[in-house]
Amino acid sequence: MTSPSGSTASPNTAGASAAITALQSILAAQHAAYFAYSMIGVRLTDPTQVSRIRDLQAEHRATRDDLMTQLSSVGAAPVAAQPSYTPPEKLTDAVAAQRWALALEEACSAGYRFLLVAAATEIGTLRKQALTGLSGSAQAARYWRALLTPATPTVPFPGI
Amino acid sequence: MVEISRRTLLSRTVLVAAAAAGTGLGVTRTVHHRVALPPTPPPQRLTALLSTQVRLLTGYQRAVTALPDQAARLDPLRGDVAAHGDALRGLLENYPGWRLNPTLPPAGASSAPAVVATVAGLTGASKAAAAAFSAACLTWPVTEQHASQIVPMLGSISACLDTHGQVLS
Repeated sequence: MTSPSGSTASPNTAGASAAITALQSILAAQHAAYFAYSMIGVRLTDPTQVSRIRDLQAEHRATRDDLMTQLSSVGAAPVAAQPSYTPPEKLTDAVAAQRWALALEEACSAGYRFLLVAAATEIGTLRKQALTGLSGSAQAARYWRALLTPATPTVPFPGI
Repeated sequence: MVEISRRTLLSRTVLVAAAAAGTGLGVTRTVHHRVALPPTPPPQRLTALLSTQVRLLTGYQRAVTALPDQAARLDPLRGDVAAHGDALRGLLENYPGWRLNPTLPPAGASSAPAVVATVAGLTGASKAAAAAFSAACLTWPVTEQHASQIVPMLGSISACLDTHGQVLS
């Protein structure tokens, strides 16, 4: 199994199925985030937030591509992107857009935590990939949460 | 016919009677002794992580008092760290030996220096704690019991402490 960094992980047989399921769920979340950030960006006017959107979208695209390669390398068909993604609420303003961005990052966090559960059966690249991804998506979620609820910008257990 | 004395007859009779009584009372039965083994102690790494959490929480409690103008920013973070302690104690409950004395400070608690009750002190302590949880998450043995519970929890706490570093910086 190839990680985004290009190194090779080899999940044991028992954990391989769970790991592939987790990677597919992360990929699905990355597809959604990459697509949705284009729609979210339209609703944001603050230059700092627009810049952040561009950076995050580029990161999600790179991660998506790496995950597709990783899954293909172990013979799994990467889950395809949906034709379109519907926001949980109408994007009438910046706050609604920020709420969607937060939900997208939390979905990524949940996927990486799922991968961490699967990777508990081995020590290696897969566990590192899961922890790095969980930390990255938790930090992105913190950015949006700080805009929405400045008094409580963090959660104690990202991914749960 | 063999002649025996009354003394010999009496002594043999007593011996036979004693053997019969002993057998009846179970003297000759095999006895299986049950020896109580001490309950499984928790891994030292887990108690060391709880020690790290306790130090950090103490630092937050002191800082919230010492820096009232920062309390609104620090208190939610303190709440997260307190929740981490609850989660770690929940993991420790998997090990029956932990119940012997769960209120004792974990090993090594007294040797570590206290967290300086400033924003910079908390920032450094949060980053160090995140690194400790991250290292434990990445190297937690596969063969150890409860790994599928412990590894994700340590990773989640590490990710949270990373975000604290961002908030405090």
